Amino acid sequence: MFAHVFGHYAAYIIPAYGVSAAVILGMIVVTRMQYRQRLKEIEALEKQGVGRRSKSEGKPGK
Amino acid sequence: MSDISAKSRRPAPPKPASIWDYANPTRFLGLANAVLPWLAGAMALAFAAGLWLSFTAPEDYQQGRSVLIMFIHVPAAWLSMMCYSVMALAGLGTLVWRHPLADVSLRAAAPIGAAFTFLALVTGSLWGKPMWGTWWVWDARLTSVLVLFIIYMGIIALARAIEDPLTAARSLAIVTLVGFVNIPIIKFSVDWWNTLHQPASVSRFGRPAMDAAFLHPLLTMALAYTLLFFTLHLMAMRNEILRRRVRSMRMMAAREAS
Repeated sequence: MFAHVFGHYAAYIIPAYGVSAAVILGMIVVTRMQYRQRLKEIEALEKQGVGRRSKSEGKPGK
Repeated sequence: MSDISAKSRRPAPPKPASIWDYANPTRFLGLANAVLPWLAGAMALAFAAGLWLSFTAPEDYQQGRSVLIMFIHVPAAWLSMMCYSVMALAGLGTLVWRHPLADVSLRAAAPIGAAFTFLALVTGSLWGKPMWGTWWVWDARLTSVLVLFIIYMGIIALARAIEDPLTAARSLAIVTLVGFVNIPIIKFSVDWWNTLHQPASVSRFGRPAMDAAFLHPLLTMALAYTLLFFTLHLMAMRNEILRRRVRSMRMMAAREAS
């Protein structure tokens, strides 16, 4: 099947696209997981009563 | 107090947006959250179009179907250099303008640039074997890209090694700017030295030395990779800002506990 689509070069084309897809999807998934992890950490710290400096010293975005 | 509330009720005159408006991390996070879904959608569309154009492109008369590797190798190589250029600009932002988000941008871009450089090296090797008969040669283009990968790894290691944020930001900016000398070397290596790697065939004066049947999928994939970079960069910058927020909250908790 792959030989029909990729000719004699299937052994090079499939790993090239496979590695690219794995690295790109890996970057997206890891970055997304890190974001969720950070939000969880902030939520846990806020539950402990730890406030951000911006809350005590002024409103954010001003 | 009443003066302040009276002033705040007056409509503020509209100001032109500048990079300093987003120096506030909270404001930047708001912008990133608003922009990211659109950027990710545009990236997905560009990838769908690019892959469809790539896989329906005709066979090259010399390279056969192995030309398919070009559509992922060339954009990865371009992005490896563009990402480093963004980091060098961020390095200038840290040292010259002292923009608070410049160091965030530099740190966030380094792993993405390393990944693109890794992809350029691996896909180049997988393309080189059937076309040149070898996985690797120590010619100027391949060696200078390998040096770029090593520089990226060094910057990532340095970012993790220095504890003090100010010292780390300055060190990273200086190392990044020094390493920028490698970018023109990569770009012009095929003109300055006799290399196995082909010279520029798209970004050159006059017409690109490539048929439209291959140029269109290549440029569409390049657009998809560029949108991927900006999506990942914004996501990673958001993570870095939140990491710093967690760090400062933990330090605050430790101060309150002691």
